[in-house]
Amino acid sequence: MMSQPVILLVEDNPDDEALTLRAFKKNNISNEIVVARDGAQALDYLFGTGAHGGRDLSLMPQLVLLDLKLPKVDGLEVLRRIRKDERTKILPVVILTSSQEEQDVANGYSLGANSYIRKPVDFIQFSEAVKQLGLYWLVLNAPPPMGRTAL
Amino acid sequence: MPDRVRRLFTERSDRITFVLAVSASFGFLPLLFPLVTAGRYLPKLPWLVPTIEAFCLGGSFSIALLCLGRYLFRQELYAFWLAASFWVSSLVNLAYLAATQGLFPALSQSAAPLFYLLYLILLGPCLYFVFPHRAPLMNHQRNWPIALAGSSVAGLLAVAGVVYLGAGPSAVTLVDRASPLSQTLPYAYFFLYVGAVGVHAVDFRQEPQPLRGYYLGFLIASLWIFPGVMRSRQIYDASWYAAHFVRSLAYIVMYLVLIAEYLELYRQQRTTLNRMNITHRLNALLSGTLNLEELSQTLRREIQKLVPYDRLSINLVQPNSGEVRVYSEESRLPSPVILGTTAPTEGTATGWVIEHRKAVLCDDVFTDERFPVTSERYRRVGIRSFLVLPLITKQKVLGVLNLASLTPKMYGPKDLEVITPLAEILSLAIEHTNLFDELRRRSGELEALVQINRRIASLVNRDELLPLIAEAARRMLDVNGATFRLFEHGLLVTAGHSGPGDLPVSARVLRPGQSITGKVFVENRPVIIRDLKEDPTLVEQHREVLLAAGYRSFLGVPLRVGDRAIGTIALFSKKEREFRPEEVNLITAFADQAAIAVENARLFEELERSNAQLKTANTELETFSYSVSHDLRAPLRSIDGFSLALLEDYGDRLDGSAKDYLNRLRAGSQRMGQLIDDLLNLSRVSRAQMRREPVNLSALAQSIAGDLKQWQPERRAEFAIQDGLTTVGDGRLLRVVLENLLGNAWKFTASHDRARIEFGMTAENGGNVYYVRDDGAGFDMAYSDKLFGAFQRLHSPAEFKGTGIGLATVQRIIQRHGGRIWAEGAVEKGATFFFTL
Repeated sequence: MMSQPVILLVEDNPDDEALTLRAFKKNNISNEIVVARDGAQALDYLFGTGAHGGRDLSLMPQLVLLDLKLPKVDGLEVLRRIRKDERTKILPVVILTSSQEEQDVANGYSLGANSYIRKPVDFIQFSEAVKQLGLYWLVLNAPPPMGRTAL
Repeated sequence: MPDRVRRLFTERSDRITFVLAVSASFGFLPLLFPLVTAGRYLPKLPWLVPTIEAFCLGGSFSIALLCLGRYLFRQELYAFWLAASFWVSSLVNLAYLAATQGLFPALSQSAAPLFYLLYLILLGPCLYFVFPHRAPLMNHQRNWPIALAGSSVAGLLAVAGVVYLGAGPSAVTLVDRASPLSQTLPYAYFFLYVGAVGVHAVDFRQEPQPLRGYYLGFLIASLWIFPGVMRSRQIYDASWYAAHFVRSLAYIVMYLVLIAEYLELYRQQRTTLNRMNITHRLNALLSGTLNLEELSQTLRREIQKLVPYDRLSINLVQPNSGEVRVYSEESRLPSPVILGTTAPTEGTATGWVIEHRKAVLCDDVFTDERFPVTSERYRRVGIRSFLVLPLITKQKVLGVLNLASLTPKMYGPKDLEVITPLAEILSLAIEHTNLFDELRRRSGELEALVQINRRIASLVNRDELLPLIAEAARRMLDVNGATFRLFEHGLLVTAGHSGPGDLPVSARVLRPGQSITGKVFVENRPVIIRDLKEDPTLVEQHREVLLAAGYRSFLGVPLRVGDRAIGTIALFSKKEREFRPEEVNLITAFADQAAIAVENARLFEELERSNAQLKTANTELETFSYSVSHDLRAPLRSIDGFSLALLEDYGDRLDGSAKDYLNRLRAGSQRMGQLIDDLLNLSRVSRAQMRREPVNLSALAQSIAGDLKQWQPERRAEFAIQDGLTTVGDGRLLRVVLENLLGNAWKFTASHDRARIEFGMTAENGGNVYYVRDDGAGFDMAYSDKLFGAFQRLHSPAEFKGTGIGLATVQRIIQRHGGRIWAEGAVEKGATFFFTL
C-alpha cells in the first residue's frame, strides 16, 4: 500500500496536539502526521532547512493545519511565507485556532488561508470538526498538482 | 475772425498794454510844435505841420481804438473812459486843425468854446485813468465819479476864466493867437492839471506805494503855462523857444517814466499771475497726490522760479525728541547736514522759528549773531544770507522751509510774501501725508490684528497661542509693551510678552494683589495709570525699572472666563497717554476673547490627554481580549477533551459517580467557554467600529424568529412582528440586540404551553420606542435595575440557561446607538423590553 499523504500539524500546545491526534485517530484518519511545535519548525519542515535539512522537498504535505498563536514565528507569518514561496504557494492551509477575533479571521483569509476553523471547547464538537476536515481535504478535495507528484 | 480779435484783447493783453504805452508816447509829438511854429519861418517845409498833426491824431485814434477793444472784451472801465476821452480829444483836435488850416470857414466861431469844454471835461478822466498803475488794479470804480467831477470843475473854471478875461464868445477866434481865448487857454490847462492832482492827492492817501512818475507827470503838464503865457503875450523870442524846449523835454521824461512804470507793472502782473499759477498747480498736485516727495520736488522747482537760492531744505520736527530731521534738500554746495539725519535745534534759526512760529530773515551770517550754530554752519560752506519759514498747520509746527544764498542780503520781506503761500501748501501736504501714513499704518495694523485674532480664535496649542495674545494686545492700542499673565497655582505667571526687553518681565511671578498687575487681577477690573511716577501701588523695584526704561502710562485689564479672572493683560506706553473708554472697551473685549481661547486651549489639552489615555486603555483591552480568546480557552479544551477521553477510554472501569463528576467537569468547562465567548462578544460590541446604514428591523426579527422555530419546532410559540420597521444603525449589532431579546423571550416562555412573542413600535414623546414583549416567566420589578448588569441573573441556571451577559451586551449596543433600554414585567406575567435608537 502506498504511503498516505502527510498532514502537517503546527501546534505548540501539547494538550491540543494530543487531542487533535486523538480526534484524527477516532475518525480513522491514518495519514502520517508531522507535528511542528512552533512556526520555525514548520518552515524548516516545509523548506527542508534546519532540523529537516536534506528532506525530499518533492514530498509536500497534503494539508497544513496551522495554529495562529505560536512561539518564534507566528501562524500568520508562516502562512505568508508559504504563500510567498513558489513551491508551497498552492498548499492547502487550514487555520485551526482558539481565536475567533474578526481581525484574525480577516488576516487569515487575506493571506490566503483555504479555511478557518475555530477549536470549540467541547471535544465532541472538536472531534466532529476534525472529521469533517479530514473528509473534505483528504478525500473529497482534489489536491493541487504538486501533491500528485508526491504520491 | 471775431475770435482772433477777442484773443487779441484778452489773452494777448500783455502786448496790448505795451502797444498802449507806445501809442501814448505818440502824444509827445505835439511837443514838436516849437519846430512847427518855427516852420512858419521855414517856408520850405509847409507839409511838416499837417504831417505831425496827422501822427498825433493817428496816435490818439489808435489809443482810443485799443481802449475801446479792451473795454468791450475785458470790461475794464478805465479803458472805456480812456477810449471816450481819446476819441473826443482827437475829434476836437481834428476840428482845431481843420480850423487852423481854414478848411471849415463855416464852422461857427461860437461853437469853439463848447468843443473846448467837452475836451477838457473828458480829458479829466482820461488823465485820471491813463496812469497805468491803477489800470490793472481795477478797483477804482468807486473813484471815477470823483475824478470826473474834479475835472469838470476844472473845465468850468477854465471856461469861466475865458468868459471873464475875454470879450465874450463872439470875439473868440481859434486861429487868432492874440484872442482872449488863446490867452486864457494856458491858465485853463493849469487849473485842469492842478485840479486833477488835487483829486488824485485825495486818492493817494489810500495808495500804499504811489508811483514815482505820478506827481511828476502832472507837474510837467502844468509847465504848459509858460509857453502858453508867452504865446498869448506875443512873445516869440528865444525864451519862448527855451520854455517850449524845457516843456518838451519834461514831457519826454514823463512818457519815459510812464513807459517804465508800465513795464514794471507788467512785470508785477506777470509775477502775480505766475504765483497764482504756481499756487494753483501745487494745489492741484496737493489734492491729487499723497506723495510728499513728488510735491516737494515740484515745490522746489517752483520756488526756484520765484526766489533764487543756492540751498533749499525742508526740515521736519520729530514727534518725541524735539529735534528736526532733514527731509529734503537741494543744494549746489557741500551740505552742512546729512539728509535724513536728525539734529538738535539749540542755537539754530530753525529752532527759533519753531519756537516763535515766525519767519526769520538773515542778511549776512557774518554780521548776524542771533543764531550762532546756523551762522557757523553756513559760514563754513560759504552761505551768506538765508530765509527760514515755519511750516504750520492747525497751530502745530511741523517743520521749516529753509532757503539760503551765497549772496548777502538776498532775501527781503517781498520774498517772504511770495513764499509764504507755498509754505502753507507744503504744510498742508506734510499734514496730509502724515495723516495718510498714520491711517495706512493703522489700517495695516488692524488688518494684521484681524489675522492675529483669527489665529487666536483658531489656535488650540498653548505654546503658539500665548505669545500671540501679548503681541495682539500691544499692537491693538499701539503701545510699546504688553505683558500677559495667567493665574496658575495661586500665582500670576508671565505667559507671554511683546515689546522691547526692558519691561520688568523678570518679575515673572506676581502674587495676586502685588504691584498694579496684581491689583488688576484681584479687583477684576481695568486699571489705568496715566503717569507711573505718581502711582503708589507700583512695587518700588518695578517702578524704577519702568521709569528708567522711559515708560509713563499703564493700562491693565483682567482676563475673564465668565466672572472669574484667569489672568491679566498689562500694557505699557512710553508716551504719557490717556486710554480712552473705547480703547479700554476694545482691549477688554479682546481680553475676553483671549480668555476663551486660553480656556479652549486648556480644555483641548485635557481632552487630548484623556483621549491618549483612552487609546492606551483600549489597546490594553484589545490585547487582553486577544489573550483571553486564545489562552483562556485552551485549558478548557484540555479539561473537556481529556475528561471525555477518560470517559471513552476508561469508562468501563469507572463507577457512576466518577462518570457523573467527569460529566460535571465537562459541563463546567463548556459553560466557562460560553462565558468567555459572551464576554468577548460584549467587549467586541463596545469596541467595534459603528456603521450607519438603513436596517430593516422587521425583516431581522422575522429571520431570527424563523431560526428559533427551526431550532425548537416542537414549541407552540407565536410571533407577532410589526411590519415595516426600519431604522438607521449598525445592522450586525442590531441583529445581536434582537437575537438576545427575542432569544430571551423564547427562552423565558419555554415553561409555558403556549407563548406569544411580540415585536413592535410605539411613538412616545415624539420618539420611536421599540419593544419586545412575551408572556413568559417575567421578573420582579424590584430587581429590574439588575437586569442589564454583566453576570447579573434573576433566574437560576437550573431554571433558565444563560450567562447573564446577553442583556449587558444589548444595553451596550443600544447605548452606542444613542438610545435607551428599560424593561417592565411581573413574575409569571411576562416581560416587555423597550428600547429607543
